[in-house]
Amino acid sequence: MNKDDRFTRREVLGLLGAGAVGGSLGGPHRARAGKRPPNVVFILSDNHRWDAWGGAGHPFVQTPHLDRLAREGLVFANAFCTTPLCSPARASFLTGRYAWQHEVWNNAERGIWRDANVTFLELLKSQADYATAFIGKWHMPGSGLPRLRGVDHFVTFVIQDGQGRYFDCPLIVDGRATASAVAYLPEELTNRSIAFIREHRDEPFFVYLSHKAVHPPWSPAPDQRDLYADAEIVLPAGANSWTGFTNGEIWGGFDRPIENAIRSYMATVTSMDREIGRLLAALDDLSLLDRTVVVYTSDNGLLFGEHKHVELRWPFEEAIRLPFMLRAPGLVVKPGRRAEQMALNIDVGPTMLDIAGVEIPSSMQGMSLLPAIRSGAAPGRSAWLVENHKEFPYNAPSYRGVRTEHYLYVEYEGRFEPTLHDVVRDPKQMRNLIGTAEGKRVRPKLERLLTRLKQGHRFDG
Amino acid sequence: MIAALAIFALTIALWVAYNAAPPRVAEVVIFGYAAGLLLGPIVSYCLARRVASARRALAFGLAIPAFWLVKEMARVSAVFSVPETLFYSLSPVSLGILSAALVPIAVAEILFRRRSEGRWRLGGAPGVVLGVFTVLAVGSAVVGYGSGGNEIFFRYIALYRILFGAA
Repeated sequence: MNKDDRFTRREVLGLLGAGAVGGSLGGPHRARAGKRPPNVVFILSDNHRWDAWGGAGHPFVQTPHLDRLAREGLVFANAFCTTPLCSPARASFLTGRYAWQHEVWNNAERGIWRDANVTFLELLKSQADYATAFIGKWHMPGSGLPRLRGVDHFVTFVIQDGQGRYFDCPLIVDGRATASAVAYLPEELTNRSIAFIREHRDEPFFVYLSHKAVHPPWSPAPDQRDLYADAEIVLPAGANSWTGFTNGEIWGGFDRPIENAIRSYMATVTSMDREIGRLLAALDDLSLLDRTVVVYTSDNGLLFGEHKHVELRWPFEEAIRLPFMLRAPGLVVKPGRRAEQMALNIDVGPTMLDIAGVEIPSSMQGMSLLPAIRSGAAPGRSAWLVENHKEFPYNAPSYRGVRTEHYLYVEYEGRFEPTLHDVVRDPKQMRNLIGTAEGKRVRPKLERLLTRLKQGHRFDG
Repeated sequence: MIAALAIFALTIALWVAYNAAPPRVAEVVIFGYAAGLLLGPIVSYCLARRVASARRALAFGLAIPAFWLVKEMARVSAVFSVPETLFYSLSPVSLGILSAALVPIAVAEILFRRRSEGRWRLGGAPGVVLGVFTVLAVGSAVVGYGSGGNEIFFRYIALYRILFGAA
């Protein structure tokens, strides 16, 4: 609504469009012949903290294009990954399933990606005839690259255990070794995404753009290296500049004082944001922007010294929370809104299928977020499972926990005692409620919830 | 001997202080701890070697890296099995700490021999140490060339997978 409470023509058209699109996507159903589903560009970054972008109120990082997505779309204010680690989280995005079901347990030595896994890309291809592309970081344990059914164009890299490198990264393009055309990997991946979009502009397309950014070693574009050289960094309570070098934290990739690492990290965020801006501009130039759903999120967060950790695997909000925003003209009725319902990485697949009008298979544990996209009054889930499976030589043990809207209760393997935090009144998780009066009161219920979640029960409203 | 023991005790005290101190103090203490960890072995060895045999001096020289390794393995054992914990002692960081102690000690022993025997003698334990760590250093340089420490880490994990299996 504009200032004097009258709808502009654009707003009326938006409402009518939302009605038309929403009416045609009223719930899980087979794609309808003759109706072109919307294009989708799904951008997945790496290790991007939920609070490390402009719209989240970060004190200095500049992300004008992510801010634009939020301003013109919707932000899921309570978005999470179910396993705070690259490979399991990425498998959850693709399959809509928890790690204990897709069995990619960690990054390296436990569980492998199985070709039998069904991804939502495969379903979009087979049931809605999307032109599909997976471009970027694959990074799943297992030998070699997968046979990705339903993906027309597969661009990725295998060096450095699938992590790639920021400059001059050799690629594998549809099975063939190919040199990068430009030096900077985020730019290369964006160029290839734009090229795919151009080639398939006349049919529904889905681009799954999987950035290496912002994984260590944080490397911004050369012209942005010193962007935040003078930024003041305030470390979390208990952390010092050298936390990343001691007590086994060195495997987290902080090869410099934390403050310098954060400056490089944020500059890399801005570099990635610039590439997102180029992609949005390309969509606009092709007159596709308002017919394309653009989604941005990350595989997991990152600890910057909170609880004296500089990595991701721990069940702390900084590791499990995600930035998650979506620009979808016609679907998002009030652009700029924040959705408060809890959203998970396992919900992305069902949501993409629902947007396309494709039936969501019952094997997916995630739920469609389309109701929440349309309305803040839509019910959300009340509890979900967070899990980690230990990975040599990292400090974090295996654990399983339940996250509700108010609490995070975690049970660990080995010598670690359970933890219980009120994440509303104690968002930094500084006070373990185990043994307290409040802890004794709420723990039994949380234990029951956790047991049911481990058995596969869903609490999705 | 007493001086060598004092260096050992001071290094442990600095490690305790680092973990207990407020962040701003810890940022200063860590430099003392790092100096103890990296320089303490060679200084302790040289001090002990003036009055003791090579073997006894070696015990003093390796006390600090042994302490470091034991505390690291204690930490790792909270999550991993005994064999995995033992494998951790072969990690790039562990070997780096060990080489920072053993290589200077080997060189120091060769110099002691030169001074006491009047000739260069590279045989025995010092020669073996220098040989082994030269091979490791060259291997690391070859593996890490162009890719840095990440590639060395990935090879270490690949060895872990071979030894402990991947599901």
